[in-house]
Amino acid sequence: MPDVSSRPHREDVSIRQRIAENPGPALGWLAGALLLFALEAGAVVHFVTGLFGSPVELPTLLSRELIPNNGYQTPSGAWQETFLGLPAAYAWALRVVLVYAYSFVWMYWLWRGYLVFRENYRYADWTPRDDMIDRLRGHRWGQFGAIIVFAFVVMALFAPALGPTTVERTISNPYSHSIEYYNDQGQLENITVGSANLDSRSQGTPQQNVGPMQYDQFGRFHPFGTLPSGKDMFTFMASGARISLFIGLSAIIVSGLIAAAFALLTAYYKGLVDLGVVIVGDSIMSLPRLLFVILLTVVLSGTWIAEIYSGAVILALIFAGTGWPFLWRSVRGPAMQVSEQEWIDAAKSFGQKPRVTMRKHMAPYILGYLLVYASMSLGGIVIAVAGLSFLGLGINPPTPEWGRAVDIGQSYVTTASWHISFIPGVMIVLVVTAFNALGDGIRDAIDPQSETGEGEGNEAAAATGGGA
Amino acid sequence: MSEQIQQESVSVATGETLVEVNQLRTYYGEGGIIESNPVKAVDGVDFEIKRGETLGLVGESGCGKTTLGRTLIQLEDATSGEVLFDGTDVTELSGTELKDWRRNSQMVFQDPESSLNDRMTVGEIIREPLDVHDWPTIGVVVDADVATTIEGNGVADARTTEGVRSDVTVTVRGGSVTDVETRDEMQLERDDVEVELRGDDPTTVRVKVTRSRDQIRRARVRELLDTVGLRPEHYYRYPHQFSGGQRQRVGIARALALEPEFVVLDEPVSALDVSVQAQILNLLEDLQDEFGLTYLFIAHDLSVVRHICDRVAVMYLGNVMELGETEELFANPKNPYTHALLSAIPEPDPTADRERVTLRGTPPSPRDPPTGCPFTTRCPMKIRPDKYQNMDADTWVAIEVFREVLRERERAEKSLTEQAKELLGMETRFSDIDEIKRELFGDIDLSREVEEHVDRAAEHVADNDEQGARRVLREEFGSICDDERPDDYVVSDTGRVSHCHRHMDEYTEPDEFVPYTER
Repeated sequence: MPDVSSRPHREDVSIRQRIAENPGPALGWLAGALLLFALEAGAVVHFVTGLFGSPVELPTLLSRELIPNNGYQTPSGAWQETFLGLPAAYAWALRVVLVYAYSFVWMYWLWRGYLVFRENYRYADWTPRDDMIDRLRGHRWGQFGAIIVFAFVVMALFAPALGPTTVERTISNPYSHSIEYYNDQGQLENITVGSANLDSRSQGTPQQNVGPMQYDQFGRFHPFGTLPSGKDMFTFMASGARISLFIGLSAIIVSGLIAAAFALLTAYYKGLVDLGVVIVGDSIMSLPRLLFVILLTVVLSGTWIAEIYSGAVILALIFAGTGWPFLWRSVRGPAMQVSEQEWIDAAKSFGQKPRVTMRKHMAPYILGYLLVYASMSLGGIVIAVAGLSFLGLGINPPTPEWGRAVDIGQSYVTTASWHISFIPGVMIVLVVTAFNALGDGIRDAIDPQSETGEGEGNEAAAATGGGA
Repeated sequence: MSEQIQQESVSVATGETLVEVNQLRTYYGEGGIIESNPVKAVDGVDFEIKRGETLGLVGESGCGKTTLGRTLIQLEDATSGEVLFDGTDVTELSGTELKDWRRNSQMVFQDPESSLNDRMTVGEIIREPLDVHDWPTIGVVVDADVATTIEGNGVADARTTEGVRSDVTVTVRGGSVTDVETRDEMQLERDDVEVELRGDDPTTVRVKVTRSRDQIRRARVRELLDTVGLRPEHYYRYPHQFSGGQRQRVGIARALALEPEFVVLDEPVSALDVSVQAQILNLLEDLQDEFGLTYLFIAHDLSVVRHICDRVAVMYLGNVMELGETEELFANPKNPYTHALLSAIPEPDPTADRERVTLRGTPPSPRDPPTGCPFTTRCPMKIRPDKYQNMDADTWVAIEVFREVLRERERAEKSLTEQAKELLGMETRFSDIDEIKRELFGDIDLSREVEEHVDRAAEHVADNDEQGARRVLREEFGSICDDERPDDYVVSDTGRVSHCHRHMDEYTEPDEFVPYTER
């Protein structure tokens, strides 16, 4: 007893008091965070004011205005109007590097914030979360996933700043914007982007092709080459990342939530509740999914909800609505299994609420399965959205979408314009794999019994057994 | 005043009834859509548990002892009957009342591997009951020379609020606070409590606790860890980092967190190593002394029961067959079932000459228990009709087995194909009655009378009329054991009860009766 009540214990002091006692590290970290934020504050102000009317323009570090890459090359080879007169490719690359560096610094700073808290302000020397982080630190496969996912998310977040040009200039409104270039006669000429695009098309022949990392004849740099319509593909991809990420994640999150909720309810209450969900779920699963999705897309195409975000919201909802039974089926078994554990009875015996019992005592056990299945289904959704775009459904053109690029490039795969299908295809594979790897890593990290490396046995095997 | 408080916190008055169970029935799988033939896990049980005692509950696997324990703490809904806890029928409680009552009765589970959530730390596990009940509500007692009212956040008058103990005692004399005492279990010290007096007649005693609930709970968990023999640093460990015995200690700490009066111990040591069992049993005994707990100890290890229990109830097929003081019951079992059960305890002395009663077959299905005494199908002391008193043991056993076989056959479900085959007069797996007869009675010389009845029964079976066959045998060989449920007979001065027809005056008492097989 004496060592139990040896006080004042550190935990007896609130976090606010603990910071007040030793403000140094906290203030240092906060200053760094504010500085980082200030660099991009303009973009946030732009976004927020944009919600309420015309956006306010403020200079920001990573904007294309500060580091422009749209310029032209004089016959002597010098560059005009680009950042510091650098070649367009370097100016663009500099911006990309800065964007990613900025994001990495933010990540690092958040991590440092956690360390500062852990070293200076946390009352416990050790908590279970430390182990979770340690397990994730030793999980190479999960880290691989995390890095790719991070790159993908940054691409989606900073899409307007990352592209060599903007969606507005080259895709949605090319004839309202113009560029300057030196023509064959050595004169500076003004041409609309739309007309320029006609000469930078990738049509499969060596004469009509702008491949990856090439300039077109107007001095525009195309990191991923151009589309058959002559539009810049990197801009297309960066912007498409946003919509793919949005649809994929929101569909999988919504269906994952539905699946988890139903799995917990059916496992906890069993009986009629279970029967009801089984009937509903099986009915949905028995429908041919793609056809049903197509039907819904067509039926709902005239409604107001189909207009939001070029149809992305409705697509996400449709995929969530038709996809949850698959996820639910795969976690129902584990949920049933965990509902038979004695700790559920124990919770009941001291009067724990069913809701809390499900969340605390059952949900953590199905989360691992859910993460694995969800990350696998995510790829399916990205691919299905691409399939819909191919059929002329889904995301309304001209809003960029990765799947559409794959489909557009299909007939050029064996030609000089192979990049049109190949690059988006590889990126889809990479992103889907990365989400899968990250899911694996998180699952292993949250399971205190898994040791890094060897914990992939049971659950992963069980999970792939049913669904792959 | 202060004497009364002291008495309350030191020990509970023993002897009065804490739990009373009347005609309790718990059936599983009732109200099926097609056919309702529930499993009668607990089938009409009466007993009471006194405050501060340990009642043992023993029986074979599947006899319903765990279900009974679970029903007592309302983990299963009783089908009928009542469980009176301090006079309140808890089977009728629901909602908040049920939740409040749950503080009083906790359970320690059998399997320490399964009863602790592996994803939570030991500290979180033990803390959970405290969080659920928003513990603590600090009970305040004011000892004053004027009229007072109590005020404050998370504070209640211990004298008027049920289930709240006197955690803080404030003494007021002559308009000022002269003394403040705190109870150890509440993790409060004198400095943590601020007391303020306001106004007079009635004086408002304002009690303010300066420690946060979180802090009090954490300290309480650390103290509980210490109480059950673990170290306070184990707060942040996970259950899988502990051995079975340590895990069971965590389970015990969780059960004790809310300071319950009644704890159901469901085979708390049967999953543990023998070396650890004794430690846990001693811990349980110490805790009982320290906190005045009342235990229901469910076990199938009879020597453990003999060691720890004050009284023992012996269960068979959902019924309590015998209930009485442990030593007396072990030394001189009255009920035939207890007799058989106790004779199965291994004797450490290999030269000891002991009769062992080996029971025939397995217990009947609890879906379809015998109509008379539950033990009738296996009882070695079953009452026989007078004319068969002197029948030789082999013949009697053969007849009993024959009846058992018919019982099982009648219960067995016949598939559609088998029903069709029966209608067409074809061979089914049920049609080999002659073979059964040959096997059972082949080596035995049956008297003409017996043979006649056996043959008649066999004919019924050949006509697919198992019911008829059983009726024939019952009329001829049956007795009161097959027809009527025995009453509970008081069989000793200490109030031991036994559930057997042989306690009726006209029959030989079971403990005086020599089983037919022994003659």
